[in-house]
Amino acid sequence: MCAQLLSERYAECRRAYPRFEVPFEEFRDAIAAAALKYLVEARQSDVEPSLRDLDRFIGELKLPDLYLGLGCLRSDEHAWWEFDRQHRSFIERWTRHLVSGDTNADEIVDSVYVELFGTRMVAGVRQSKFRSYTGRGSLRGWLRAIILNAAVDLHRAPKLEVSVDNWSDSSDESTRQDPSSPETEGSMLTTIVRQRYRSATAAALDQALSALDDHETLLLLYYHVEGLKLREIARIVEQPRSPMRQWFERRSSRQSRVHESTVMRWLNKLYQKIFKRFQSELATTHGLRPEEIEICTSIAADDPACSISLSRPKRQGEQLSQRKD
Amino acid sequence: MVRLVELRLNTRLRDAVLPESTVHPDEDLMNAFVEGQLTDVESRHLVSHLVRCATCLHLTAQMISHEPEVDQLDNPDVSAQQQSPLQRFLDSLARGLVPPSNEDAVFAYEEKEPSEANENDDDPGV
Repeated sequence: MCAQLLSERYAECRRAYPRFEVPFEEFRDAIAAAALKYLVEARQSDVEPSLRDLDRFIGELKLPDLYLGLGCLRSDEHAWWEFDRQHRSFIERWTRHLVSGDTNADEIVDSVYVELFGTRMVAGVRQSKFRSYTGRGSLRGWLRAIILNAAVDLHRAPKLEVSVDNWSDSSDESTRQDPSSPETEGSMLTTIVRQRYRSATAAALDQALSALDDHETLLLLYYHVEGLKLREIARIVEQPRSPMRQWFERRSSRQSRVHESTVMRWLNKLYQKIFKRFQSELATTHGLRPEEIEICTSIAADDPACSISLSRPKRQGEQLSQRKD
Repeated sequence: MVRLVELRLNTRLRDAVLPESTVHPDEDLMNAFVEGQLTDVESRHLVSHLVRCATCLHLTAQMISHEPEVDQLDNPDVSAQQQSPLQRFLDSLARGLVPPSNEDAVFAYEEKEPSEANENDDDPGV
């Protein structure tokens, strides 16, 4: 099964790296492990991949990178020299780019190399980080992820810098009153009613967000929580195989490039979908009348940082967010 | 309302409780995702994890946002090599001519409209 293809790819790798050798069995087993990881485990399926799936999968693997990684995993000195020649300079520059201070950078480079070498032994097997590299992505990209992880470990910062206290629980300063003052019952009632609408608004919005598909939520998270720019999101969905792109785009009109305006349009559609669901939840789950829904909509829109109102359809080209990319 | 959506997304992500048995995706999987190597089916489980795990979401976002710098680091000498000796000479000359304070310098700059703005008129289908 796929034996011919494997032999050909193996021979190519041997030619690419004549100074060291990885036995064919190890090469084959590594590919089998990669196929198990991506074609079975990642799909959470017990169905065996078809021969065609396997052929496609093997064809997409970065096999010379995998071969080099396997050479390093075997502690082959020539493989390590080759790895250093190709990647050491990148590792050092990328680390220095990420962290300030030579000491910190050196510390991270050292820790990355320790992980790659694998100083720990478990049941007689050296736990090298290379064991987890499958060749599904590039070796350079994999190294980049490892260094980022190491940098985060060194300077572990709070992930969510924005104060995100529960919005529905936060009291409104403008309506806070001194209970001992001779306030009218009417204004206290207004406060209570307003609080009720605020709670309903928050709950309906949560329900609307929960109704989104994961890929839609991911797009919103990248944009709003992680602060990625439109062009950065556009770049990741530019990959023809990018799942985010496959989810969002109409398959009949696949193009090689994705413009920022396309991503903005996807976001706009999502906002409209959220708003529609938000209104529907207020009406059905919370039993609010149209005029009460209007109040909740105005509460939701009552944010000076927000330049848009979702209560009317957007004209083409109109920006929905105040963010400038 | 967008601001409110942003706040709720933050809150939901912060409050998301992952089971203790959660296995976080490794760098190999996240890198394959960021490089656009995974199929729809292969990435479904990962995406489901990313929308609930702030740490992994952050790591992939960092990988995406640092992409151009990585490309630049991949080819550190390209820009220098592309410059001819004359260009380098003119650049050094210009550096000597530009006043130290920006207030004394006037630059004319015309930004061109992107021509491909209408290239991707796909319906996202959301």
